[in-house]
Amino acid sequence: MKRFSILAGCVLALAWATTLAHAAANAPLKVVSLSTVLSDLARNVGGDKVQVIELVKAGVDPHEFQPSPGDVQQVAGADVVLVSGKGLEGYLSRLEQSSGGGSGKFVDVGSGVGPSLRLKEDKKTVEDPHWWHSIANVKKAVGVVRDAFGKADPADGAAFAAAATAYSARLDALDKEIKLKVAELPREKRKLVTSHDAFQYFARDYGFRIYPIEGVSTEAQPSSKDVAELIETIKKQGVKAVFFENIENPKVVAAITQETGAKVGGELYADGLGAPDSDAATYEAMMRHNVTTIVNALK
Amino acid sequence: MRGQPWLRLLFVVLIFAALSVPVWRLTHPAPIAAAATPVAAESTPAPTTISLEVEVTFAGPPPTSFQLKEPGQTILQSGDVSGETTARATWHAHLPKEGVDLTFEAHWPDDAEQTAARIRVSFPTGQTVEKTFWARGAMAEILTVPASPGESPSP
Repeated sequence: MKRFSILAGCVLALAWATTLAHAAANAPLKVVSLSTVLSDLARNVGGDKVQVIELVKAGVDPHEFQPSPGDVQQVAGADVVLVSGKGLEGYLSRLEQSSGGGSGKFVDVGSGVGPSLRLKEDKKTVEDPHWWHSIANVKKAVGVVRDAFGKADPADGAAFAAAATAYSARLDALDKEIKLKVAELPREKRKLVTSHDAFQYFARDYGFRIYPIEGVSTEAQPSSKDVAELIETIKKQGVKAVFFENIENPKVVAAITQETGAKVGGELYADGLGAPDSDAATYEAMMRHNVTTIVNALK
Repeated sequence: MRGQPWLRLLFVVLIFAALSVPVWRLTHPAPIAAAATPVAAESTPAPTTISLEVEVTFAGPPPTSFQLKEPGQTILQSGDVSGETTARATWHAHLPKEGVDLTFEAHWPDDAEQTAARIRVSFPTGQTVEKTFWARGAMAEILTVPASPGESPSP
């Protein structure tokens, strides 16, 4: 009887361990994202095999975001942390230290999308962190995310690869759709006045010239001299519309339009996606919204 | 002389008068609405008008419909080719320094083979800008024509 009890105990323990191992194997990869765009890429590549936790949510300015103690805990328990990079997350080294680091779970997606544009700000040269406004960059980012997920969960690597391929094909179609939409706008009218300098990658890909009110970061406020010079430029260049951003105060834009006679072109999503109920809730929707708003206002 | 009270008073009045103009300008900026002026493209030079020869060549059967256009104007369309594999037109182009984007759209029957279309724009100097596109069923592509061939269009 004693021997039977021991044997039964062993069988039960083995069954329990097997169940635990099976559950662990089927548990979705825990992915923490530091950008709304990366969250969307993660969902598209990972599907139901990942659980995406957004630290930077829609409507939050990523230039000014600071992680809370709760965010640090989320990072500590994550399998993969997706970082936008190119200097956007000024808090990153502190976050890595306070969350205990982690053997390579921080994935700098921005470093995998190719060379940065470099811009002048306050007499310094800075990296432009807004790489997601180039669809070519986002296609590379999809590859970085696919590889990171495959490394963290090799069993689902094939599923990640298939999803990444399908999503990349959609991005190709989106790029063509945007090129056709932009072609409706004569090249000499492709002059974009925006709240801050976030659209240089977009400008490079689609032939625009950018006249920003603020610098690369939303923290850099324009001087009255800068604004006066911009007003002169808008008048000289014959810019038809000035755009504001979803997370910026539109008052400066309104004042500039009054001074110049240009109209308010509409709201653009510069630093991330819109809220889930907005027309910019996904990356593809955000790009469509921005391009349609720009082209229709500048025509 | 410096001791004269009326001279000292005059001196003070002159200083106040001199300072009053910049002080007035600083404290009474022109109202925004009054400063508003209509937007005009002052610094944009007039685009160059030039006659360019445009040729569209299809590698296989021509599409059931096609259109080559610039913003606001059609340059070539289906009726101009009538079953031929090549269509030509003279395009009186207004070329700004930024160049012009031409949009080419074409449709073939759904069961058609993959095919190609070449668009060539010839300048009076003999220089050309051309691009070949491949598609099956439908094609929608952009060809950028710079102000002068050999140069990249400036944004």
